Amino acid sequence: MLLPRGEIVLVVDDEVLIQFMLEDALNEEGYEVRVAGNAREALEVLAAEPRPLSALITDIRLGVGATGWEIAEQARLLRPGIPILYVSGDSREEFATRGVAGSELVTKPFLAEDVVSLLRMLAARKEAEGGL
Amino acid sequence: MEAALAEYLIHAPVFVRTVPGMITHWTTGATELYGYGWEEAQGRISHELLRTVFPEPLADIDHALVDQGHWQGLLTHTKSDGSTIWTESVWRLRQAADGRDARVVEINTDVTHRQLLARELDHRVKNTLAVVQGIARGSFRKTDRGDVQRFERRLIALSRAHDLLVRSAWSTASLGEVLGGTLQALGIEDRVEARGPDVALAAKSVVAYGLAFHELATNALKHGSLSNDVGRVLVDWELVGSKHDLIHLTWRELDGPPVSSPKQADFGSTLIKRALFAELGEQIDLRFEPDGLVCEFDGLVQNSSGL
Repeated sequence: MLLPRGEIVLVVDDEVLIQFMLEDALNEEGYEVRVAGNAREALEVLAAEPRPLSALITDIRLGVGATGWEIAEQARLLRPGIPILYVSGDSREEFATRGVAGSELVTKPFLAEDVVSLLRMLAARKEAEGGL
Repeated sequence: MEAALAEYLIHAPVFVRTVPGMITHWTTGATELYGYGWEEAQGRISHELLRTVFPEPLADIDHALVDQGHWQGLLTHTKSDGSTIWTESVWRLRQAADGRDARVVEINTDVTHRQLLARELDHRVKNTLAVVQGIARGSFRKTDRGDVQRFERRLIALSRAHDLLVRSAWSTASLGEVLGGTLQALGIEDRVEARGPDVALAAKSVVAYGLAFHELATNALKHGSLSNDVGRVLVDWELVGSKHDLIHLTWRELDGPPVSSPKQADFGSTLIKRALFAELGEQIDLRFEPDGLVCEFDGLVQNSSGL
């Protein structure tokens, strides 16, 4: 399988080690990664990154500021159709009502490989639908 | 004393209803908890009025209620102001002498604060487990990725057992649920036949069973009967002992490739023996038969009804 060279994924998590784990796994798969520790940093990347973003991976509860639900909504406004993957320890019940259209959720703890598989599935879905 | 007790009882959040749910009695305490007065509650179906969310299908709960005369569990209710609360709900069936006009006395204790704390704890535990994964990934960069993945899958098995306990407010989980969750996570539920009565495990045993099933299942997938296309696993359990207070469980691999006892105990088998032994206090019989691995043990039951 061809690695997605040069594709950029934005990872939002307030835990540095979870950022690291995702960044490491995504780098291994050929993705470039931008990391943000909170909503403000995430929105800066979403607004300022000059290249297309292939996906947003966001935690739900980020300590201070907006939640992952709100970041995803903003991301869809700034980057229409961007694939969204939520990671969460305890928000599966809310996902049905708060997750943006076409998004997925993976619960913590998770295998980094499963996150990569979900990203590929989201990318394939987007391509099949010609963008959301 | 009598007056104080009567006052206490008036303020207890209790109502009485028919089995299908029509409210026939409603205390001041119920009004204080839910915000609905007697005029609003009388004759309404309680589950509709309170928009009850049940932990399992209502038909199953009603079946247990009629069968055993009582039921207990965690519900969510919606108050008259639209806010949602968690209640620890205790139902008692009261039958008239002629067997007709059965009523259900429902006592609901508001445990919202406790549930919010439990959810916060759950969030932190899951985050901590994910952080541990990050540490492992960084610490063992030069280690075989398969080894790291095995470690990560054990963390996920631990997390799954934790989930079951959070759902029941750290009280209990059924043996079938613990086994089913493990098999489903590994995608092998159609290759494992589970036979046994509904048994509630004590909270402290849930993690041990969860980890043990994970090790047995991953071992079967890698080395045992699930490593070929035709092998399967039979898990059966029964209640034994004079008071039916012990579970006798057998995990038996069938139709697998020939196996032999490993020369050296690996971490998985050590974990099975030690985790179960530490939690259940019984010796584990783990043996390698020609058809595959067999694991047998006796464990303690919380009690057979889960109450």
